[in-house]
Amino acid sequence: MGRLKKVVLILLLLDATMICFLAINSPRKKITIAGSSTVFPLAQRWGDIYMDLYTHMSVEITGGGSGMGIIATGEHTVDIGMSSHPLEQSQRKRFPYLVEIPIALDGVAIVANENVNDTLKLTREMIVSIFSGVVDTWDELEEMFNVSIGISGEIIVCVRADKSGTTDVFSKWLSMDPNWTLGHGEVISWPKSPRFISGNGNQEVLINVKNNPSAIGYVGLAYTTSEGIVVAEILNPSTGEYIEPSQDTVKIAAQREILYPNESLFDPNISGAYPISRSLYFIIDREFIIAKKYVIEFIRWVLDDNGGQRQEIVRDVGYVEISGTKLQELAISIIEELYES
Amino acid sequence: MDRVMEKVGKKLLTLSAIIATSTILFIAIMILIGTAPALRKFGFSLLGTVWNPNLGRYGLLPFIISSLYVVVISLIIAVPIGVLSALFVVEFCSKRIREFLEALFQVNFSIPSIVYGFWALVFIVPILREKIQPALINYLGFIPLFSGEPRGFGVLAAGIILAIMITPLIAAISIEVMKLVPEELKLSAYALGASKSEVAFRVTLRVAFPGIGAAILLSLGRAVGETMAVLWVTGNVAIIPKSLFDPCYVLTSVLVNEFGASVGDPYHTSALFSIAFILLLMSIGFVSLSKFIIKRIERKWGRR
Amino acid sequence: MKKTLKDKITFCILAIITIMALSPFVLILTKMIHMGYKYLSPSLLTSYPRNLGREGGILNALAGSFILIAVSLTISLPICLGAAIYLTEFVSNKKIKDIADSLVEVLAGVPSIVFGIFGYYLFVYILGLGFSLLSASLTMALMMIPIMLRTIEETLELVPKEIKLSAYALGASEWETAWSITLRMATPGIITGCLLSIGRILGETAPLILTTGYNFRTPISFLEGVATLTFTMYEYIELGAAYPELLGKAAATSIILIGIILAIDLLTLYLSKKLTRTILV
Repeated sequence: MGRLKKVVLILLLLDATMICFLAINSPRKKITIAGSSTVFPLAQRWGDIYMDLYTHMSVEITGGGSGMGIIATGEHTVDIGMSSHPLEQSQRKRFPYLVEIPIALDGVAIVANENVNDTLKLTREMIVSIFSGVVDTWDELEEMFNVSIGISGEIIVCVRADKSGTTDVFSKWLSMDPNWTLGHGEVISWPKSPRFISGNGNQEVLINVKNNPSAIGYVGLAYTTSEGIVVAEILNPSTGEYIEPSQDTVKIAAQREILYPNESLFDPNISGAYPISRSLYFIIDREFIIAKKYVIEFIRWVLDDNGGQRQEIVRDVGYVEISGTKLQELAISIIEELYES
Repeated sequence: MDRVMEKVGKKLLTLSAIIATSTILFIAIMILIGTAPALRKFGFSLLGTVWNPNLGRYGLLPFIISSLYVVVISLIIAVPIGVLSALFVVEFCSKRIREFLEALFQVNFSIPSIVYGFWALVFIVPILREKIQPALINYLGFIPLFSGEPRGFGVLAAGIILAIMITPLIAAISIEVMKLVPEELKLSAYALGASKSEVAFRVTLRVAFPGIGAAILLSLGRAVGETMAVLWVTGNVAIIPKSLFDPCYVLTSVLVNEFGASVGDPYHTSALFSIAFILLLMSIGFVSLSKFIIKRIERKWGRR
Repeated sequence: MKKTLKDKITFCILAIITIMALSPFVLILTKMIHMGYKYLSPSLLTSYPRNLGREGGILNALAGSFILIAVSLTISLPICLGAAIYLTEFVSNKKIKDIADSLVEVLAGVPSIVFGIFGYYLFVYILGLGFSLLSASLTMALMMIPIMLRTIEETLELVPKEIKLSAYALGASEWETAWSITLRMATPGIITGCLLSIGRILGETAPLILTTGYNFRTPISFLEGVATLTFTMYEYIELGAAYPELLGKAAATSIILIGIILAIDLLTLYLSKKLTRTILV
């Protein structure tokens, strides 16, 4: 039994050392970020690089959807909220100290399973009829809009179940068509039909589209480079052009005079611009964040042309940098003001 | 000094015992407290069929029925396979092979549920969608049970992966129960001229029946509480599934998906607690009932 | 016993069914190896993830699993040991013991997600520990109780009464007996209980999602988040739609995970054989 006792004592000693170590150390300065699944991969990437640069910092990112991120920021359970749409009136009322900071550009793309067709040219009316459930099959779509689609059979519509900024932006763009009756918001009451499959996060929508041969869905730009899907070209009503969502076409949509961070980038009257473009935001509570200089420094780095806004970082994740746009100027001025206080 | 140490020691032991035994009470109390607001506001309309937190509709029926549907399907598949395998191991195998096979069941049982879920996503769903479901729809599509489009996800996928998960459990318990069948009964049967398979089915299986029932109840309890294995294959649509190919949304998946997102809305959170409550009742109910039956059996036939 | 034709047919059918029942393990392992073998290298185990996990390894998960288990055991073992000793030595009323045992048995039937919710409310929210290693360990410690307590209790109950009576006869008090003799006898149970609990914790995911954040490094404080092998799989699968390499990484992680669990299973089997012989001396 003597040998066993020795082993046990050594284990206990090691265990005690580890516990003391964990208890004494204060946690690495942690920046907590939560919210939109669209912004998630970009924030993860930034967090990764930032942690490599500043090894005493820790950046923890969780999902949950834009809505959840905004609420968590307002209730001070996280430092930064990620949102793929600007603050709603109700959110501004409830949390008066929240501020949106644009940090990147994105588009909402319509993707379909590669079986559906080689290419897909869609107008807003066609998209409205698909996503409101008015059109049940690809054949009906062909008839109604005089287009040709490679398959027949029912349309599987892949939508979001969780509170999502992507849903909010998409539905807002659809609301510009009088035939869209389902309203807009982070959650939509999709038609109760087994043709509509919901998922949580862009990831699941993409999985659903890839796995169903007759499926169509909406995802953020970063999720369009996957195999097994076809990305639709959308008609920009202001210019009459069919534009494919890409990082360049989205950047073009932001190349103009912008006065407010939450301005809409829809249907821009610029040649080559993608109609369903949007800004991505970090949401912060200005009162809460003022004491946390290290969080402000992180956001400063994110907005810097040589920091987070480097093309090889942002475009690699699938989004578009805001360098050289009015949005970047607005964002930097907000952050600098907070830093000075 | 020794006396003091002894007294302190005893107090510590008592404290440990209290912590260990009262944990379940604390859990139950917390869930009841959490459910209270929703119960007070919605009462029996919680048993409605529409779940839409944004419109303030909290009907739990889709989840309850989804969970039950999926679990029943899994039992239909797992019970015959598990029980017959157990019969094979106990009646048709030598001791050494039996130990080896029992160990293999144990190995199957220790695979983490997330691995099962992952495999279900990358293996079962595609096969269902591309080969099995189209075939079933072709030949049996007129039956409502097999109607719908081949999506891969849904009740059937979840039922299959759950079945695969709980088969080792059913087999292992059935083996233990069958081992308890007294030799005398079997020997008498042999003496009367019965063959091996007759003894297996008419004696062992018959006598072990209550124990097998307990195994089924235990698996029911475990299956209903499974989270990661089915999270990605049910499709997560809050409808009442009818066909095997319909998507569904089980109790555990709603909790994982919506708990983080319900932070701001107290009624949403409370409704989720009521889901947890139902889940707790079901799992604890089935598992306790099963253990009760097993204890009765062990007392009757004696432990070996 | 005649070997009738019916017997032979039954044997074959049942054998096939048994093989079906045991085959998932092989199927799963094959698929995981197929998906993940190109990521299996020493650097998988020795480097931290970079670039969202697309590059680098899973050292954070290995270290994190180890730390989580160690801390959870440190919390749970004394409680279960103390409770087990108390219930077998110091409780004379059989009714109370039965109630206590039932309360612990019922705990065994609680689904892991409910533990996660309880852990979130008690540790993360009410006690304000936040999403942290500490909250996760405390929750895991509670989940271990049914397994550990029951295993130790069973071992203790096997201790022959004569040994205890002889100790009393020699003048030892209840406390001294409990400590020096019963504890010695409990050692095999403690070891088995630990191994079984470790096996359980390694396989859990849901409670972690609700009580801790995902840490891309090894935690240096109780208040940081922590990554485990299962948690890493969860994160990578969720991100896997956008970044398919991550699915391969998840598969590689699952291989490591299954390997470790198998090793523990074998260890448990070997030890339980060895230890039962020791007790029954």
